[in-house]
Amino acid sequence: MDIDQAIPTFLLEARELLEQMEDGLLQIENGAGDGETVNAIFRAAHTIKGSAGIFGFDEVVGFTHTVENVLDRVRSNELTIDRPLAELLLASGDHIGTLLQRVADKVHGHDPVVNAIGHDLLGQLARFTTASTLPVPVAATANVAPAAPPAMESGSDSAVTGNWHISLRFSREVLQHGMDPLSFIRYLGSLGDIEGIVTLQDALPALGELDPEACYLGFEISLKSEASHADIDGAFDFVRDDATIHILPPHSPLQAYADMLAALSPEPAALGETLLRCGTLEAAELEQALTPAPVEMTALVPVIAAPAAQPCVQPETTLSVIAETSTPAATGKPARDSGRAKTLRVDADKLDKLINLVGELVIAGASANMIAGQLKARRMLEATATMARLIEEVRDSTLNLRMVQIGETFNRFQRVVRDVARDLGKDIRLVINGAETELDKTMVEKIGDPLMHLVRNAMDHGIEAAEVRVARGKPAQGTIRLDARHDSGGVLIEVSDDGNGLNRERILKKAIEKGLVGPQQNLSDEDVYKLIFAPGFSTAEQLSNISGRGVGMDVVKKNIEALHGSIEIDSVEGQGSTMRIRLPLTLAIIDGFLVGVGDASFVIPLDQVIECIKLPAVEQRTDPRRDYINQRGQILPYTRLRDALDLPAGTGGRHTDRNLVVVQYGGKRAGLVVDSLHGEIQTVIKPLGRVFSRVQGISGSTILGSGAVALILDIPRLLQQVIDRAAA
Amino acid sequence: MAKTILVVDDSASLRQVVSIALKGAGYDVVEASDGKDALGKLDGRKVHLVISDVNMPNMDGITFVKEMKKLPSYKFTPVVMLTTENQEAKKAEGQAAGAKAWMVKPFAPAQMLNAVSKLILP
Amino acid sequence: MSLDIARDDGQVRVRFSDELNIYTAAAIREALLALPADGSPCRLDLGDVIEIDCAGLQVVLAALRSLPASTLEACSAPVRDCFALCGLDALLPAAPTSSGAQ
Repeated sequence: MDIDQAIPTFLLEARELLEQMEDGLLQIENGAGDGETVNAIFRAAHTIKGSAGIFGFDEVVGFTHTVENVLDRVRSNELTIDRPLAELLLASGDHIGTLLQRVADKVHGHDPVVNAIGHDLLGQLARFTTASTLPVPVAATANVAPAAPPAMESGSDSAVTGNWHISLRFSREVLQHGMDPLSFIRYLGSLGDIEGIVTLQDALPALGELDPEACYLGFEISLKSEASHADIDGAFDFVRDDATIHILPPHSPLQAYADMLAALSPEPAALGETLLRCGTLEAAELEQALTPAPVEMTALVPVIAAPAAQPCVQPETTLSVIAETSTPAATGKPARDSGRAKTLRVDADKLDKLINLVGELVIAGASANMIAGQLKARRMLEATATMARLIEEVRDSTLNLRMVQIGETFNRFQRVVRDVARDLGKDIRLVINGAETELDKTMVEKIGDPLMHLVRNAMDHGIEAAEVRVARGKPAQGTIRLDARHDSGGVLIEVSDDGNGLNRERILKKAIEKGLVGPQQNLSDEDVYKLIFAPGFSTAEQLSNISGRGVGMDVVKKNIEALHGSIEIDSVEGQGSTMRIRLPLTLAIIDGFLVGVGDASFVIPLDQVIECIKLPAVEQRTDPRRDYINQRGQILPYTRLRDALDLPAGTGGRHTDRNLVVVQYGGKRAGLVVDSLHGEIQTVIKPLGRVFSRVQGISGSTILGSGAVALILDIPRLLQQVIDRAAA
Repeated sequence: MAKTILVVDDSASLRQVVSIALKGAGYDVVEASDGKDALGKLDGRKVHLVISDVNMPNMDGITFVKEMKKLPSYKFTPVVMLTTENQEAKKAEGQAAGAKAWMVKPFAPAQMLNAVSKLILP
Repeated sequence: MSLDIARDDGQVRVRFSDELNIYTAAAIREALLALPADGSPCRLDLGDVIEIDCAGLQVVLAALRSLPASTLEACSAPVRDCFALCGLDALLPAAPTSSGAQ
């Protein structure tokens, strides 16, 4: 039984639950939570404890137990979550996270720091718990029955048999409660050998009077077993309320058998026969047991009988009064987490393999299509076209598997904003929009850090101190916004604040100091703002410990670009700034537009292509340094792809420079001059080898249906080159 | 023919551990993530035993048992409720709904197997 | 659950199949009660029973008592196990039959 294989599931689940707990606590702190929020928080702690227990992670169980206790009191309205308690519970959640990390890292033994933190938190939590909060040890036997009375010496008063005797009478309702008396007898059989059993049918009516769902049978059993009294008694744990159970240990006093018979039947002698039939007693023993004791012995009888009979006899216990209470809260109103879609956990590696295969399939499909085209086989072409459509659907569904909502990442910031705001002594709220926007899981994972930096930055440098804000006629509470939405085939994420805005003069001064720009350069606001992405740039006159930790905006930019994304800044001084991040939906497959320059093929992501036009004949011949045309009254800068990528001139093929592909990205447009246009293509992005990774303007490669390699153009970068050149 | 056990718990890891243990002992296992999901699993298939958590989203364990007891083909199916030591009130409510067998969480897999074997053998 | 009732040689032969448990006990009881009470001996064939529980056992025991001259005929392995578990081996037919589900 290898339950270790379930540990990753446990860790993943526990972390999700901790996040839910944190979300809930923050909601309550903001006055937004309701009863269901409390329930959800409780349930999170409850589930973590229950699951941790089954793995035997006692550290997690012990600590979470106390947290759960406090939450249980909140749930039953004995406590309300105020700020200090929320604080404490959040810290406790963090500690559970630490303990889980220890499990994940397979750290055993005691870490004095972790212990100290845990101890401190438990001390604080204790103020909120009621008296008995000791965690139940995992393997504790919940129901330790009193130990079997020591077997009497087999004198004349004790039975000869070395077997246990078990007598069972069931309630009429036991079957309706789903319990099958036979199953308990089978279980007894697993504790030893049933050497004799008598099924009592005297209560069983004739067929005509029989209630087929009622139980009429009783059993007298002689069990040879080394098991303890507790083990044998434990067999009936689930049926205690539905049965009268007598358990007599081996060599019990004869009087104990007599008492049992008397308790069970008005005619002990008749029932006594069954003890003979199942072999528990010899005829002589039964006779002796049933013979009224001599007068002088009567006084002694209870003394002898009591220890043996008392602990063993389980009189039919009555249930404590049960009120038919209304249906539990869960049915009352739609639970908050009912939005949690049904999910199936799939190993990320399996998904990656599937996506790779689908990638291969896309290529193979394109290849088949191409061959059909070359063969001019019409019906074959129709078939490959159908197949292509299906492959496209398979591709989309497959990629969709990797899509996750960005909300989870966004929600993490609630806590960050709260904690950082407190550290900074500022009052800041976080507003989230578009949490349901989906993008590739890898992307979601990797965008977290850059976003974190931007949010911290906005809080630290953007939002002003409350006095300043009020003086400027702004609300004292600052606002940070996180927005996400789909935009032209990608995702747009904005981090905005209603603070200072960027200070053009200060940035410029600093940039000149650092030699990033010349003092005479005439720069647009946008260009000035971009300077903050330059390596090592930092404008804060005083580095605070929030954002100025060596990781600069240049790293943020680099991280975003590694995701084939881009970042730009909008800022109005005194009113706030917005960081706008554009990301592709996925890293794996794109719809592209295939073009040719000389012998080489290139792919332009389709959503970045606006149109293809013929380069006017005049332009084809004119000075290659002239690099813009007048397109429908607008200036369109362009470049020859051959020049942009430094391709050797005249490597075979005709270089006609006839076609101009108009591309756009982030609201900017430019033209790329190519020799030939080959149309749309679906393509799988393969990472670039080391040789190409240094080539500017190329973001990846792909294999065409023909087997040839095509390079995927990095349009944002090329676009920037063209615009820079045009401006120069 | 192996006996089938329906395991209802919102914790995927708990379900996984319980499943591994039960399957190892020779039972067939069907999993459900909450009461509503579990009712959906009672689709005519033979279920010999239900192991259900109490506190779950969407539909809690006690409501689930009440609903199950309304289904002619499942009304006599034994149920083991998983509970924690501080849920006495829930236990009373559950017993009234017809759930007579209770197990206290956390438990070791072997404990759980032992408890199940009191009700059905594989 | 199904119940086949056949008469031959002045005997009634009742053949049980599938499950003989709390879900089917009521229907079986009804069917057995509907047998004509003409005093013909009754043979209960449990050779095709794949599952039996306490409720099923009770119906069989009650039938053996209530139906005239009734005896058990074939018994499947689950039925044999059940009777043996309860110390009711004496009611079983002498030799195991091949028709039982093994």
